[in-house]
Amino acid sequence: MLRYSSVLRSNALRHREISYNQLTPKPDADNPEALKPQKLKLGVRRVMEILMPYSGVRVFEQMRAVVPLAIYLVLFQLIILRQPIDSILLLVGGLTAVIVGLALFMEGLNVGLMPFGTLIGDKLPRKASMPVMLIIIAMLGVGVTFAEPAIGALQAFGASVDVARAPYLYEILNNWTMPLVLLVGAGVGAAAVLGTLRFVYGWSLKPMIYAAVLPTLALTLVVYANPDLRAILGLAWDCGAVTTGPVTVPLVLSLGIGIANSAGKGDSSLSGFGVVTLASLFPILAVLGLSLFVSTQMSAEEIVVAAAAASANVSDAPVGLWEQSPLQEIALGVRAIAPLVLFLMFVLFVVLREGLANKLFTGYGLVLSIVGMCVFNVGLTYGLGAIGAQTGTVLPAAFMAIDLSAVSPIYSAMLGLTLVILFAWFMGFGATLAEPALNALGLTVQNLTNGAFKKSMLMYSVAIGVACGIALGIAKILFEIDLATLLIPLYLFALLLTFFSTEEFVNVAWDSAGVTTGPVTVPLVLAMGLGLGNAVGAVEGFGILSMASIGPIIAVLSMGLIIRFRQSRGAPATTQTKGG
Amino acid sequence: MAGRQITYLTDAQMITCIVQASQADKVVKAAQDVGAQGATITYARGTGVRERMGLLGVAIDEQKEMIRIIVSQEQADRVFEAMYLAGDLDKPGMGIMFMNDLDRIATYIPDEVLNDAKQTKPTRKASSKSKTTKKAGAKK
Repeated sequence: MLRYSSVLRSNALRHREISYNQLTPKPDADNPEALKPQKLKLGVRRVMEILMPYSGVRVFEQMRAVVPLAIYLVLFQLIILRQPIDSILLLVGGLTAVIVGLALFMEGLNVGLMPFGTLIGDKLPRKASMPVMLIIIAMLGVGVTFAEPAIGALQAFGASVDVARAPYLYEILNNWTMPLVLLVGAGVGAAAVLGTLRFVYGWSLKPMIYAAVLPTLALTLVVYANPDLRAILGLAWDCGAVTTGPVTVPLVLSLGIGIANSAGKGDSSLSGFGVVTLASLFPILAVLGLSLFVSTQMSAEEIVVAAAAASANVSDAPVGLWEQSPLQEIALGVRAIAPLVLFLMFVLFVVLREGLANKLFTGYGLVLSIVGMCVFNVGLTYGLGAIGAQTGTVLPAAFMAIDLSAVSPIYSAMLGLTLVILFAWFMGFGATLAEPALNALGLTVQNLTNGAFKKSMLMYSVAIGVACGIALGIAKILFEIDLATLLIPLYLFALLLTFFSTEEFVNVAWDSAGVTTGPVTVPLVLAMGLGLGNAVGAVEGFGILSMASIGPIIAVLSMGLIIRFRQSRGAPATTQTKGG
Repeated sequence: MAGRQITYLTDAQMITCIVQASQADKVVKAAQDVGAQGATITYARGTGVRERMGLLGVAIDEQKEMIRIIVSQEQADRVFEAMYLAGDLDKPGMGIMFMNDLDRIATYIPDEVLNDAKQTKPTRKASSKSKTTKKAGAKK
């Protein structure tokens, strides 16, 4: 027995049948092209139907990272700090620009730039000798650093530094930006070369970490000993976190993996790691070196005099928002992407003599990445940077009297400081968990350790590490703790943990920091730190990011050791982590 | 091992549906909601309408997911339609699907299911080659 209505419901769709024969092309004696595929003509509605989900998914992905963070900041400012939001329309516009810009940029990166990376990684080892390969990779390192969206943020904050108290920091950020970015790029390039060698020969990461961290710490001590230079430390260590962003990591990795596939002997599952670590350590070294060099070139007094002269010239003519903004941002965007693209094209067409599979798509991707970069730059200034600076500036209202807020201090010093540090903690925690890169890293790690290190466990230990790091960084600015006194013991502790950990965890832990500080978190945290630093009258507001980098390293390494300890006690026969 | 035997299931269809990467999950979900038992998903790369759309082709992922679902004849149309709708196959570039008859399928069938099922007469052309294969539920 079958009810007629249920038959009707099961075949709900109206349907008709057409013979496929009618739709396939027929041979035509007059037209030899008749059998070839014809170009499709689509109406506006159809085009929209295709474009809507395509762009929707990509915009939504970025919204998920930006919107909750912005809402958190706004609510905190309104409810806890009782401070109205300044120029809210501009902020919303800026954040929209961030979302749209990032979506465009990431899509452009995937469609336009990544095919270059994989193609070159595939073909290069077959056509070029090892030294040529390494030179190309080193130059690529410089190129990707310029293209990294967050690197613009560093330059943008140069003007806010107080020249009298941190002369060299001011000098480097304002007059040495080009050498600064170049040197950071050189650091990334060197890291990419070493990482590739590691891919190919399957070297262990541990000695490399020792060899990179110890000199960095030594230079830190040297710089710390010079009171004029001391303020550089925050910038130098923050550069590490800034460089390992959404351009560097995938592009360098895709090249390295391609090379490892065709030339490598290493253990492929782990060889993808390590580059990111080195790419965040070497730039620190480079920036510290640059600061020492600058200190031999000019004395602190000279800088102060020069800066005073320069600011006297500039302050006469305030530049209007629309006069300076779009053109300058576009120029910056083009300048960031163009060198990388030209270099990749040179390698592909001239060195390798290869063609691209689809020039139209690649061109579209390149245009998209440049447009995205420009839009993102605008958003960086008026969205992320503005909201971060605003929150940072009014944060002190919680515990001390500031001019901005009529009701400050809102709470007692103790409660206010606790609130501010808790605020920083939860911001770091939430922002890190929302990073898509962390999810991917978690999955990889879960597979690598055969489930011993669960995805959620990694995500939470990294997030807690970042959160503690950011809280510590904020505390550093609030209490004017010297960065070196925090960094040196923490890194030494991390080295100690590294010594006792297995290769797997060393790889994952040291990479987790660079992977998780994305293009949204970095500018926001930078701006907030600088705003806070200005508000409480600290010398400089850098250093939060460097704390946020060391935090997860220690958290993941400790977690790894705990797991291993438990495993070896609980089930001595099945210690899966004893691989390395 | 004595007593092992094979049970052939007949009246089965296979639905194959090719969609853009990361779209398969919702299509499979829709199929399972209307009674499909399981699905096999493989990764593939496809060409077709994408190349004929010019620049608009970037909106379509070259990477595809290929879903294969085995259904009974009774549920075939229902599942087919559900998948078609879930995959938005009525929009350009979203994918293609087709269905074909299966000669026979064999897999693990729980005893209680097996005992409830009526054994069918070997009438289809599949059984013309081997007339003694249909012994479903005849154990013990």
